Amino acid sequence: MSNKLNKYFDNAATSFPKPREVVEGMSDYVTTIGGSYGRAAYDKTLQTTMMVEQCRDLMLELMGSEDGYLCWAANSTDAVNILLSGLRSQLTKVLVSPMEHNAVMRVLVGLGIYYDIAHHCGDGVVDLEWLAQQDLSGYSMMLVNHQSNVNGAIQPVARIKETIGDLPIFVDCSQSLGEREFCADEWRVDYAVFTAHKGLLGVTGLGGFYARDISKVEVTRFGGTGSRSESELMPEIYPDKFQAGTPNTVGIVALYHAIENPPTPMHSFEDFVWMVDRMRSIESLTVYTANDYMDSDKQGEVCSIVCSTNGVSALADRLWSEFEVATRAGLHCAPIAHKTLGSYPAGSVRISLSKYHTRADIEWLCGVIEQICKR
Amino acid sequence: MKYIAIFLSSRDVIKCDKHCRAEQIRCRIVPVPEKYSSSCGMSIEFEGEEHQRFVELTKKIDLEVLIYEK
Repeated sequence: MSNKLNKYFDNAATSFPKPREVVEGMSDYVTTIGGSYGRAAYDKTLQTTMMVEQCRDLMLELMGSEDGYLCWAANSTDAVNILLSGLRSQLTKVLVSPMEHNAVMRVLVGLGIYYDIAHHCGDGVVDLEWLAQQDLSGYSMMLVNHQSNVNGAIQPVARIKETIGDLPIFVDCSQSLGEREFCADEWRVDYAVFTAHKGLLGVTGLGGFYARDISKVEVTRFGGTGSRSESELMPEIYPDKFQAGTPNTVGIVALYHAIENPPTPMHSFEDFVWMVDRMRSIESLTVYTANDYMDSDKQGEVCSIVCSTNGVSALADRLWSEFEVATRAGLHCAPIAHKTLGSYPAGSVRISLSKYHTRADIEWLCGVIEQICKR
Repeated sequence: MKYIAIFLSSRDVIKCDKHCRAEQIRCRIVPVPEKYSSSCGMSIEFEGEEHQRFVELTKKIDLEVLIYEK
C-alpha cells in the first residue's frame, strides 16, 4: 500500500488490511493442517489443539493475566451474552459507563437487568469524583467500555476499580485490545470481553471473554466437548465447560499470527492529534474526542465528526462517492454514547485509523473533509 | 510397561505434553483407551521408566491426572 492512499477509515467497525502473516497462516492451516480441536490424537488434531491453546495463552498474556481464564466466543457480543447470562442470577442492578455499546446495553435489557448510567466529565469519561461519592451497595457490577467506538475516549479502568472497591468490574475491550495496554491483574479486572477482528487484526467470527474467577459463571450453552463423553452433563472443567461445539479454529489461527506479527505503525499518535487539530480548524466541523485527546493513555485513534453544512449520512456519502473514503455514519450501535455527547439522534461520521495509515493518508483525508465541508 | 495418563481436558493434555518435551520425558499423545473413559479426546502414553518423573512433573505444573498401567 506504500504508493497508494489508504482510504479505509472504518477500522473501528473491522480493521483492514490484516498482516500478511495472518493471511498466510490461515491459508497454510486450511490447505495443509486442518483438523479439529481435542477430539482425537493424530497430527492434524494435535497441531490444531496446540495452536488453540497457545493462542489462549497468548491472549491471557496480552491481557496482562497470569492466572485468569479465557474462553472463545464468536465475537464480543456473543461473549457478553455468555458472561451476563452465566452471571444473571447474581445481577440485579448494575452501573454502566456513559459510552456503552448495544453489545452490552441490549444484553442487559434483554436479560432484564436494571442499570444506572454513571456521570461523566463531558466527554463520556466516568467522573471519578462523582463515583467516589456514590453508595454502590445496590449494584452488583459495573460495566465499562474501555475505549469508546464513537469518540475514542479511554476509560481509566484501574482508577474506576480502585474507586468501586470490591464491586466487580466488567470491561468491554472490543476497541482497545491490540491498540492500547490492558492489565487485567494489575487493574483487578473481574471480567472482560474482546473481539479478534478490530485492533487485534484477526478476522471476523472470533471473540472471547476473560474471567478472573470463572467459577461464578454458570454454563448456559451445552454440547460436545470431546471430554467426559459418557455423560450427558457438561464437564465442570475449564475450558471445556465453556467450549461446547467445535471452536473457530481458522479464526484462532488468524489471531495467533496477528498477535505474533504486529505491524509497525506507519504513523505516530502525534499524527492522530494533528488530524484532530486540523479538523477542528475547519469552521463547520465539530470533532468529538476525549477531553485529553493529546494523551494516548486517554484517547484511542478514533473520533467522530459532525458538519454543519452537510448532514451525517450526506457527509459519509460524499466522502465515499466523491473520494472513495470509507467511513461510517450514524449511531455506531452506541445510542447512549451519542446521548452522552449530545450527538443523538443523528449520530456522527466516524473516522477510525489503523496502524497501516500513513501521515500522507491522514493529511489527504483532512484536505478532502475540508473541501466537502465548504459546500 | 507403559502407562496411560488421563486428564480433565485437552488443554491439560497439551500443557503436559509441552512440559514433557521441555523436560525430555518420553511420551506421546494417544486416543483415550475406552477401558478408562469413553471420552473421544486425548490422553498421554509414557514409558514405565518415566513414571516417577512424569508424576513429579504433573504435580509441579499442578495438573490433575489419573495414571493407569496400559
